[in-house]
Amino acid sequence: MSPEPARSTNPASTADPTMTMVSAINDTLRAEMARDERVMVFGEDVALSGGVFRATEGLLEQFGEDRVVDMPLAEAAILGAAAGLAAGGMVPVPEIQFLGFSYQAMHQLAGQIARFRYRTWGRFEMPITIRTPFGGGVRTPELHSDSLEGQLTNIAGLKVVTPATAADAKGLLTEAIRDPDPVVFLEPLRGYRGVKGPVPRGEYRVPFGKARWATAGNDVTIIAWSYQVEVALRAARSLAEQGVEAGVLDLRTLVPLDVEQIVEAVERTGRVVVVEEAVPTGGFAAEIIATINEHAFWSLEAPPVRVSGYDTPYPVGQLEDTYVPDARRIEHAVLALLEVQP
Amino acid sequence: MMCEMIKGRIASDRLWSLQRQGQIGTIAPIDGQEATTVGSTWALDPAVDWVIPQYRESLALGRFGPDVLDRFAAWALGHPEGGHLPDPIRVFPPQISLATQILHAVGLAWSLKLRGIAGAVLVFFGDGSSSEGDFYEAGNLAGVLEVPVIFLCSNNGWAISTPTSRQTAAASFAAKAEAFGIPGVTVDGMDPIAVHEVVSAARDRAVTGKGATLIEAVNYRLNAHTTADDPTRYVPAGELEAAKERDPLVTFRRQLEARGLWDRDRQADAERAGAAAIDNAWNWATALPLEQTALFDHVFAAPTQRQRRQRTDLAAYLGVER
Amino acid sequence: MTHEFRLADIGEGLEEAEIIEWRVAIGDWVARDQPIVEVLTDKSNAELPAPVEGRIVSLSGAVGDIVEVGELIAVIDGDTADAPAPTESNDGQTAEVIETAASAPDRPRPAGGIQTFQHAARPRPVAVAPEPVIERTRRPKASPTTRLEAARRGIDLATIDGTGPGGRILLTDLDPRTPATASPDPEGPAAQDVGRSPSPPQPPSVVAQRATTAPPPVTEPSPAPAATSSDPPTAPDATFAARIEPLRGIRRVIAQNMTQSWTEIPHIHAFAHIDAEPLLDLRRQLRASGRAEFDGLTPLAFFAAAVARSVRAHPQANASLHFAKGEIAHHEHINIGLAVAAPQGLVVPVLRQAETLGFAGMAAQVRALVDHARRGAVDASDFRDGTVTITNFGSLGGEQALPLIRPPESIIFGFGSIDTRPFVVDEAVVARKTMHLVLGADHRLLDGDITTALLNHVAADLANPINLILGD
Repeated sequence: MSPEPARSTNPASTADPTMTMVSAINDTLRAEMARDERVMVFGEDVALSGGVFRATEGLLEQFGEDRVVDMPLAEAAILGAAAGLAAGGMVPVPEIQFLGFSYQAMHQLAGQIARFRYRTWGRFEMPITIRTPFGGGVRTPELHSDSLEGQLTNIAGLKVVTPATAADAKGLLTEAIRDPDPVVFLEPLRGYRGVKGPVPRGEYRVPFGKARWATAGNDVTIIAWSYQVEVALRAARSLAEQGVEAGVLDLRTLVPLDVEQIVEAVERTGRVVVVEEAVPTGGFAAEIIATINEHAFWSLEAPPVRVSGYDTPYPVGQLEDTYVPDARRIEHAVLALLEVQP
Repeated sequence: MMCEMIKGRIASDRLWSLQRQGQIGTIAPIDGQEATTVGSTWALDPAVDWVIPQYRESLALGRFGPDVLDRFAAWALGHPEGGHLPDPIRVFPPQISLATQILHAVGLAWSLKLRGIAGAVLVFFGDGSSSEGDFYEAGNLAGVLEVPVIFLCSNNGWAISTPTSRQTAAASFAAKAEAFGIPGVTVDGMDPIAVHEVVSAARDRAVTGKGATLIEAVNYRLNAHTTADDPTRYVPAGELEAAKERDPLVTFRRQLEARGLWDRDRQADAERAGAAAIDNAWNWATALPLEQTALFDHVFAAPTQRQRRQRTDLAAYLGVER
Repeated sequence: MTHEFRLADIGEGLEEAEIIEWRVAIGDWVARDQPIVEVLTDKSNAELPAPVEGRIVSLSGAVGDIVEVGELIAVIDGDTADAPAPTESNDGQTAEVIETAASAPDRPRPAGGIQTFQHAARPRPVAVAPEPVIERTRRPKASPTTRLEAARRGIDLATIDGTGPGGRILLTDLDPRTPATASPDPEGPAAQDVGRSPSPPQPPSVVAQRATTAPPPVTEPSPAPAATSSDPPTAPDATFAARIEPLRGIRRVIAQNMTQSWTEIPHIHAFAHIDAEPLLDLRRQLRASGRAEFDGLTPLAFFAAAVARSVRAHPQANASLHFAKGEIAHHEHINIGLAVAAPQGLVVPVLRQAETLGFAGMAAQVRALVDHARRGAVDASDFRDGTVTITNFGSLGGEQALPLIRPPESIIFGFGSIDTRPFVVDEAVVARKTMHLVLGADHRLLDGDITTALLNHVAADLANPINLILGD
């Protein structure tokens, strides 16, 4: 199990200032596996093929078949085995091929992994990082695009991490793998290659629970996470041309949540739009707005609004562009919000 | 083994009474499954092997030390320490979500293999659990990975009110091993010696790198499923009476007495020791301190800011209430 | 010591049980866990064992009675002074354990189907609680910021008539005569931060505050903002409209500002009609001079120079009236906004510190600003801090117009088209190139004499444009 010295089999490990998110993830997995031999990667098609998005490409060659493992096609087995491995002292980084497939493992995720530390009252840690792509807009078949963060954040004992940039993908994944608790690491399908940017070289960690201003603005606050940060930025640019300065707050992690920055933003702008791809009822945007009402109510100049999917199952390809929020919808919501007089 | 079986039965009865007195919540009695639990775990080495129980077995896991019963009493009492089996006791707490623990066993056994530890993982589950997807996923995965795990299906004839005939059309539960590519064995689960023998063999296979074994131990549930169940509604007349003839506490005692290894005094000593064990466990459990703000302990290694705030609010609220 | 034994919920959510059989009598000695009574619950028969060793002092209820969870079943005196001999007890306990072990499955056996039937047939109270009558009252509608501001000023919202949608009380509806107090706010820092909210009748929203950063056009209807071609949010309703377009972007900002100007500012207008030929002659000469700064020289440069000189001569016009605060803000610099038709709509880039510029510098800057605006190469910083506005509606062919002031400015100059018109020169009507000038002023701040003087100063300079080049 001794790792070989790191080889540069991946072009992304050079000093590319515009690395894709998937390359950043691949690099980070490689670095963490080299750093800690307890770290192991397993899931469906992760070893020989390097993952359906190539996020685990080259890991098998570098770290061997004990630590990079193609699993039988069974999501519950992947996560259930991860729990046992963690109890046995390993640091599992399982992959669920698409978040929508996690329904078939929800009893292990919500019923077991999330509460293992709690039900054993601290005896067993679950330092598991579940990597899984999610989100829509790329014409996948059913259940490949579902955004389930509202369900995941409703499970006490899970951390839910949603990087929006390539650098954050590295910094947050590093943090997730080193975190002693289970983390669901949500990777945006559209962001794998659609999001590019400079990525710090060497050790880079981004602490959980610290939101990031993707762009500043004092007229209105747009709160988003994962790929919708990119969409919100597009809306903000368009709004700027109309004289509206919209700030975009990238939450980075949903659990833990940076309540302080959300409250600060509302106190400053009094107007909030929360963007999510998911079904709105009972979703995480609703949680954010409830949080705003609890902690920043007196600063509100207008009712907070959501731009989200709809209360329907995630639709098929010809309907998905209507379902998934785009910059135009966000812009429209912001302009309508700005018309409300306090 | 006889002493532990008696202890298990007495502890189970005592907890049953405590439930009827309103001192604890629902509990699942062990009656009829003592031989399977004790015979199998006496084949293990507590220094390297692990046990992952379902929710009855912890009454008779004395092989892994008296702490197991103490913690089980606390678990029944609803104290969070009940789920904590302190290191290095290689026992998991009771599992309520049926069959999930079978996959944990495979993962844990996988970690032993990866770390080069010559131990095995014994996982208990019932005939009902064998219908869960996790059982099949676990059996399949263990076959593929060749990990040192022993699947012990404690077939007591009933999954609450559903009889074996409604769980499977297979000839036996052990027969399912064939689909996993691992050996399957059926054994008389009312005979601790027979159970000990097959589990010993399975353990040998496990620690010598030969992989997993599925064992079906056929016993009978001599009591209700739990304190909330009424088996007279569904158990056919006469079936229970017939099964009682096979009660391991009776048959094994006769066996031992026939060989001159057991007598009335030993029986009385074992019963006193068993009663003392559960009384000690109960006394230990009821003396455990507990602050209501412990609610927030052990969700994460370190609480989130929101949890800290909730805890502070709760403490203030409770302070006001007092 | 006596112990009260009460019925517990022994079946995951049971509420009551029926007494089937007493297993002990008052005065009996019972061992711990010895059955006292058999009960029938919704789920099963159950024996209830004694929680402590002792003598039965009392038993509650007769066979057939229903006992609620929490009700007293028995009182046991745990004083062991009169307990049976310990050896007997020990043996009894041991025997009991074995007996229990052997007969455990018997415990839940029901007494018979009859009890079950009786149990099921037992009448239960059927009462549907009537719904409470809710008296429908309505609290005043207001946003959190408005509520906080009202509380801060001690205003009872119930006494305010809301002018917002659905009768909502707007921040601007709060009585402006009651200023905010500076007392510490009980709502904490979050609430105090709300103090940034401007007092009425200043622009209450961020939209209006942005008036200076994204100024509206002045007189002429501007092209609609570059259409974002999304569908309207709602389908056209029964109103007489072929198409309903959401009001947004620059158009919305303009609408808001012009509404404020029209409804809040009492305008006064002054007019002049001048001979424009000297101006055209001078422009021709300067353009022919070959000097770069006069290349492409337009009348707008003359207008700006004339306005700068006039305002400098009448500095009281370079001010903003803040009525609610009871203040007049006098501006240090003369910053002239030039209304220009640009790709994104009519924009008003600002010529800064016009009082410091000579004519050549003025001409160069005017040309640069207009060029930038027409190319869409201006940003928010180019729109800020205007104090005076020029609208050159004449360049669009307009002869005369009544321009509206852009709050918080106080004056706006308009310049009509230069055309051949009858004009009196030396007591004779002749055909001349002439133009109409107009000045709109905030009559709260500027009286008629100042207004006339301001316009006449401009008219005089434009009629004798050499003044603009020579200066004072």
